Amino acid sequence: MTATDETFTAVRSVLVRTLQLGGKATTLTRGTELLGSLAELDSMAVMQLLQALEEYFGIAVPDDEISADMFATLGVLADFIESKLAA
Amino acid sequence: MSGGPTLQRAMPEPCPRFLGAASGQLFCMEYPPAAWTSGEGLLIVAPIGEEMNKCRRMMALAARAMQAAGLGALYVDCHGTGDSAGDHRDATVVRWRDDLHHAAAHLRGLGAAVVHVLAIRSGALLLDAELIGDGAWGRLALWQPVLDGKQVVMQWLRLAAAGEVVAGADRGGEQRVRQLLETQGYCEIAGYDVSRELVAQLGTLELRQALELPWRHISWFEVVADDTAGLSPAATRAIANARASSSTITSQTVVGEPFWATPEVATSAALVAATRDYLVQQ
Repeated sequence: MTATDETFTAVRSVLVRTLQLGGKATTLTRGTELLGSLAELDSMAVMQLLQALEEYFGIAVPDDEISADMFATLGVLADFIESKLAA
Repeated sequence: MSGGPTLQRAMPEPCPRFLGAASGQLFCMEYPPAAWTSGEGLLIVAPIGEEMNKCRRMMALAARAMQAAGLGALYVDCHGTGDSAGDHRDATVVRWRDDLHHAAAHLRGLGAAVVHVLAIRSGALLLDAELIGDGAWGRLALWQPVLDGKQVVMQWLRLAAAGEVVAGADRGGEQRVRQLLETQGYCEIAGYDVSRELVAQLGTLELRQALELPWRHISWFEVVADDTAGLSPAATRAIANARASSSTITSQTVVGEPFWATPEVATSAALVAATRDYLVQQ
């Protein structure tokens, strides 16, 4: 499910705030690679990002749905959140 | 000293002390006002787990701001955390609540018949009906409250499992942690031993329960990215539900960083000022 612009912007905002990426905010697009490319995204940051997204949107992501794949790009992550909002 | 005739009374220094609680020596930081004449005081309740450490600076800033505005404040390190006695492995929700009751009683003993509370994040989940004892319920200020204890548990389990996800390991790390809790009775998560009992008790806590206590009024503070950002969708729903069950609750957004989670220690002077203005009303 492709994320709406509204969802994408909100996911990007949560990412930027959680990882303190202030200066990079405008360069992040749907195609921006996350895990393995974004140095700030270590294991602790992955956990905090998930938590921040859950709290912001009021959703719960079950353990068996969490994988490295969903953090491939910012677009993939936003699409995943969109699918949880629709569920 | 030969100062002028209009010397103001100096603000007392913050006072660290140990309170003798049922569960052992309870570390307390007291921020007394120039005089406890208002009959009011503030209990600051820290978040659970690592977020407590991230929030320490903000707790101290808030306490000093209240103190300067004439509202005495204090906070304690609950059993097995910070400088208090005990092992984190023995911590339970019941024990932590006892510690908070003890802190509130100490505050009343100092002269605060009316107890206001500032609860940060998951700290709000620990508030219960016995908190104020024979004192009077004051106002409740919430900083970015956590809605459900299950979120705290989830965070712990994930923390234990997150390394595996990043390493590209197979799924099910949380399941393995749950099994360890079951067989061993506790599990080490990011340096803290967490017991099966604590996990089970936390899983039953909901913010809704704290909102239904007899507060004079509740203010929900959310830290947002910029002036155009409103309350999060999740907070908006929770506040609407609280109003439906007749809690007197308002919300306020403050621009700032999510200081409870940021990699570097962050603070928000705007949040401290807004909270002071809310709690110290003329």
